[in-house]
Amino acid sequence: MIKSIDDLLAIKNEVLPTLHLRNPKPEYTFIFPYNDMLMELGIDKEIDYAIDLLAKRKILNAVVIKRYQEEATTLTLTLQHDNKTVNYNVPSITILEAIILSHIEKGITFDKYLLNSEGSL
Amino acid sequence: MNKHYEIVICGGTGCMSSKSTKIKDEFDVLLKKYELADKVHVYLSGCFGLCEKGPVVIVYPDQTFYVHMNPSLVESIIVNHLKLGKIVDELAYHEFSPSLKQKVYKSFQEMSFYHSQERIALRNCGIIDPYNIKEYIARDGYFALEKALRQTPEDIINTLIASGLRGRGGGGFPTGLKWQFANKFRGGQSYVICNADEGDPGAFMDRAILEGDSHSVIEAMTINGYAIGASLGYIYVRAEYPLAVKRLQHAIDEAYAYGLLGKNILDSGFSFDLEIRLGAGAFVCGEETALIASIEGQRGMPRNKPPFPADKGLWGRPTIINNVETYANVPLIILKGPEWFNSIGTPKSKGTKVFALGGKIANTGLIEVPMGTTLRHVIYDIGGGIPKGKKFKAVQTGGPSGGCLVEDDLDTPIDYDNLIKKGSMMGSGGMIVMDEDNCMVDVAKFYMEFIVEESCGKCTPCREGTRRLYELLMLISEGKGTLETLSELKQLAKDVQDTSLCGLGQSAPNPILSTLEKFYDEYIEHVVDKKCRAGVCKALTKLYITDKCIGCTKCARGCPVNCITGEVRKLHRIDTDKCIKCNACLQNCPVHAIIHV
Repeated sequence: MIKSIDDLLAIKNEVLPTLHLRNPKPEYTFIFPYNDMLMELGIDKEIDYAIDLLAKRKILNAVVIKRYQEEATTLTLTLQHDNKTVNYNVPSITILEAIILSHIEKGITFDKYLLNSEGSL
Repeated sequence: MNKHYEIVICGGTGCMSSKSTKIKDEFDVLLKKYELADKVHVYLSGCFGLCEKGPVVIVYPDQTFYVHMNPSLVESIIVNHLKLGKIVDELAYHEFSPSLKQKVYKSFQEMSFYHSQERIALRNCGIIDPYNIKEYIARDGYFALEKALRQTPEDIINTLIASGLRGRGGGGFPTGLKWQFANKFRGGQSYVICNADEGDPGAFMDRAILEGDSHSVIEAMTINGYAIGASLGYIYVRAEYPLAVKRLQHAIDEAYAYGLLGKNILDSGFSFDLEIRLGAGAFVCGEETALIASIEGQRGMPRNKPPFPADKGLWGRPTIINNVETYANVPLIILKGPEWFNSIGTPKSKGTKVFALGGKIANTGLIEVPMGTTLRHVIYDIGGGIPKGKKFKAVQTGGPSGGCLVEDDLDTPIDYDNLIKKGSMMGSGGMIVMDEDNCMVDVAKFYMEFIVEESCGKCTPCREGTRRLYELLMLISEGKGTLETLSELKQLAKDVQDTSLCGLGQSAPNPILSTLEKFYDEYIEHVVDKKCRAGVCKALTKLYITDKCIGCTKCARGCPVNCITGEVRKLHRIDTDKCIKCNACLQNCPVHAIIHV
């Protein structure tokens, strides 16, 4: 039974994490290349980790997408934000977390593993 | 486990009739088979709007818009898209790129159909699960009610007046003023009614809102009840909308269960109950006094006004009647403020308008655009233009009460006043596009036949006059009309307009007067030359095979009465005495050798 604005807010906060995937204009899009070789290298674990990290930190303005790329041979990550694109090497989950949080929480690129970028953040 | 994908399947009536429920069932079964059920959430939403491409499925967060889906295609999406990240190109939406001169993949966000729409009334349609009140709340649902209940009724009414919201059902009366009028009669029982008796041919915007976002109407009606001191509301919806009724009832039950309807809503001391009343599908019950009579258990017939319903309505008590789309705007106006709403649209028509695009247009479906958008933008940029390279001829707005707009009107900004100036009206938002193959006499005849069927019969001008008008149009289309018939048609149309009891009767001759004004030459051709240039009026047309014929025999093979003869690779002939003018040959001919003469 809803009796106050607090009750409404509680429901809103409970449901928003499931609704955020339907946001037509997410602020940050993290794109993982995907193919059989990358599966062997552990790309699924990285994707799962990224999704869980965003959920755990209640980051609702970012989404994670996997995109098939036949030629990809290393674990990488593409970030799209404000029409800018940044590509990273992502050798480990620890690095992945550092990259994501660097962008979303600090608004800066994580230079050490930067491959290339178009535009500036 | 956190979800990786949201799969939204259009669950509007159109897509449901094309088995979208079975598509969902197939997803449920196959996601379990491929061990993805815990990573993917699948549900049926309200209408997405692009009905032409239905059944439609959107995969989020990728925003891939899969079109013309059926259950047998589901496995391909699971195996390729969900498991491997490969968009199934042949099923995904593509759009022609003028620069690349070919069709290219477009995500949901990039599609021209949605790009320039501004969705206020349709804000939740195609996004939320209509069976889940929590999703409505998560999109700020019922926050407007909470805010309103902390204000005075006068504050709410002043907000609506300042917003400039006008009724979306046809008349365009300022909503805030209507509420203010009822508030003056405060004291004792009063009522609010939602008019969901959507009857214009081709219009389905109210149905879409009720199917996809019932709570927006429930919330608005509760606010309306508080603003005028009403404790009871009715939603009058036609029984031909079973899905809308089902979802609406479910939403009402949810609202009661969550304490958002019933006694002491949000601990405010205000109580409000809401009930559904089913209409039997009479067009005239969209007229407010006829609607009230129907709820009272009487035959649905209009009465004279004044007194207006805001003074003496349901059971003689003050009653506010607004249509579905009007109500769907109210919560956001309360929440975001009148200035926000007022900043959208034209000086005298604020906000947005939902239109149902139908007829000869590539993207049939529902759209919502700011008032002031031009017809050209709606028809060509959003609607995708006229199919098969045909030439635009006219667009009928306002349904049977409206009129037609022509090529010269395409750059007119759409608002209440401009459409009236151009001889049409906004109506509830039906927009039927016609091309060169439409006969305007036939269009007028179609609407008049509809009105003859739907006239309640209470007043003589409408009951008898519309029938006579229809008979005159029949004479013209059968080649039996004369110039006197045209004069008689015009005079009688004006008489019916001037003397009918209610708005429906008064506006019934509009399609005739409008086509007479804008396509008089076509009427003249029918009565003087005994010719129908569109080849629609069968008595006035003959089919003829020109020298372009390549003798492929397709026309002869497709003719249901075997009236076409000819040898392979030689010119064919039609026996016009046997021809039933079904146009099958015309459609089958690959070289357009068959014409109307």
